[in-house]
Amino acid sequence: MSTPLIKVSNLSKQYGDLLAVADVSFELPPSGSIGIVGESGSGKTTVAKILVGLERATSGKIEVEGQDWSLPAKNSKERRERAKYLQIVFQDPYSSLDPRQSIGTALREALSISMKDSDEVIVRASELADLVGLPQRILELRPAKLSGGQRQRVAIARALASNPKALILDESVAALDVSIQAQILNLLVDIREQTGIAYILVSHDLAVVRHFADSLIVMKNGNVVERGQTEAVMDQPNHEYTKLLLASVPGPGWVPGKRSI
Amino acid sequence: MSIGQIAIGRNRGYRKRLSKLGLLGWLAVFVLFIFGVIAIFGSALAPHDPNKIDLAYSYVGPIPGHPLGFDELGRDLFSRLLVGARTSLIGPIVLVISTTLIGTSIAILAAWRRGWTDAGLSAGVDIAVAFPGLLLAILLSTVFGASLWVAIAALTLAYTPSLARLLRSSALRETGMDYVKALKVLGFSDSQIIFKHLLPNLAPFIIAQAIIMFGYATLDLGGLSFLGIGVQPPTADWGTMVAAGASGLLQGYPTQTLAAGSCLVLTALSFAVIGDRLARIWGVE
Repeated sequence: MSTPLIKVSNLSKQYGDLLAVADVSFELPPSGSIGIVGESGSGKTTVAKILVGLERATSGKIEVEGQDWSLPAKNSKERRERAKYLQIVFQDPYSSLDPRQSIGTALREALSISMKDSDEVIVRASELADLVGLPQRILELRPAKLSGGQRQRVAIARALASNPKALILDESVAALDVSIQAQILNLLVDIREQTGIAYILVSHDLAVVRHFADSLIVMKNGNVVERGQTEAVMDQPNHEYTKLLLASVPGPGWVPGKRSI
Repeated sequence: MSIGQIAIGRNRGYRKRLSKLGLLGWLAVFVLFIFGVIAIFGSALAPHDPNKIDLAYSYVGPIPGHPLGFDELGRDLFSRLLVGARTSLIGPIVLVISTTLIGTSIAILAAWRRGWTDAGLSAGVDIAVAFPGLLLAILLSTVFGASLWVAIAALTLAYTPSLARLLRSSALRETGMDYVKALKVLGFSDSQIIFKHLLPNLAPFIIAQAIIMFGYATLDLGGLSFLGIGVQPPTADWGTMVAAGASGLLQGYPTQTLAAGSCLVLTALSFAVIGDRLARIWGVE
């Protein structure tokens, strides 16, 4: 295996008495993809927040291309520097955009961090809209006029503005309905083919993870209970919890159980 | 895009949206503009000395050269109204601005830093809310002597905690939004996010609060003047004129109270209309 893009070792996060993340380690190779799977409260989102510096780890180490990222960025210069490596798309498309800004302004603002030339920024903003499959006229609109799926595309485009090497998708399709989910997932696959970006997919949904994560870790109560290549884990789960998660996914031949009233 | 161009884009947007102010909105702007001019040039515009007492003219109605007549001490009402504009407007405006600035800063600091900063500030605010403003004003005026500025300082101390508490909860909700987190991850500094995103999104709420406060500020400052803690006689001031005219009102001479009262109401109303329109322009539709 080549040098990992992101290497997380023994990451822990303590909130008072609660150990939200316990000794989590994983590696993400360049252009690779890893799924972090677990139910709500398993600590998977906390891992994502620590990675992007929105939370401070209690202990453990994060390395990104050999640089130490264990603590959140100390100043805005460091913040800008880190932005070029890792971005995040959140779950709720309704709170992830500033309601006052038109989509074009939001994208251009995100681009202005790394680009100084204004013509270049305008061109790049419309390229980003193309990349995520949004029509150009949407750049004029404010978020209120957009559907959830469109907003999530904008959030992805904005995250891609800094040209990051990896993107964290924190339940990014969970709030969308199933057909839109599929569109967004296909879009993400297309973007990976075009840009070679790596993904960290945080999800409770094994069907989504199977769609494009090469490897996965399964978290329960802050601990990693199972890890391996996605196919292998899906086909031959070792831990009871993974089996339970897999059994919860409706598949062919699944019959809804009778509810007792 | 360079900073300059972003600024130009902004201005154009604002100009376009400002046209949404509407007839009533512009009328309110006009009224405040006139009052503003009077407040600045009032003493030069006044036809007579506002403090010249002539008891022979006590409660005399309008006569040529004196369009509103005289007050209980025979002073020219029109002149007093013009000269009074400055104190009457400056008092509440300074009070509202200082309260809003301090209150907003506390609220944003608490919501942004969270944790111990928030806990400390909130505890301080809770203690301060419990302290009655009037008592504070009397206390301060005993220590520092009675003046408009002491009254303003006392009311600022009295208003700030409740405003900070109100704003803190909206600021907390706003800082919890994912777009704020996304902007951090994109590499924007705290101050960029606070000034370009957080404050503009909170602005309608802050302005709404400031307008409500303006009404209270006019009344409370007038009340303090009435008690002798605020504006000191013989300084002309609409609030004190309303209070002074109250006795005349009972004797059938309502001009002073009505004239000064309408000026106060018109001012407060204009602020309310403008605030309401601005809130709409800023997108709380």
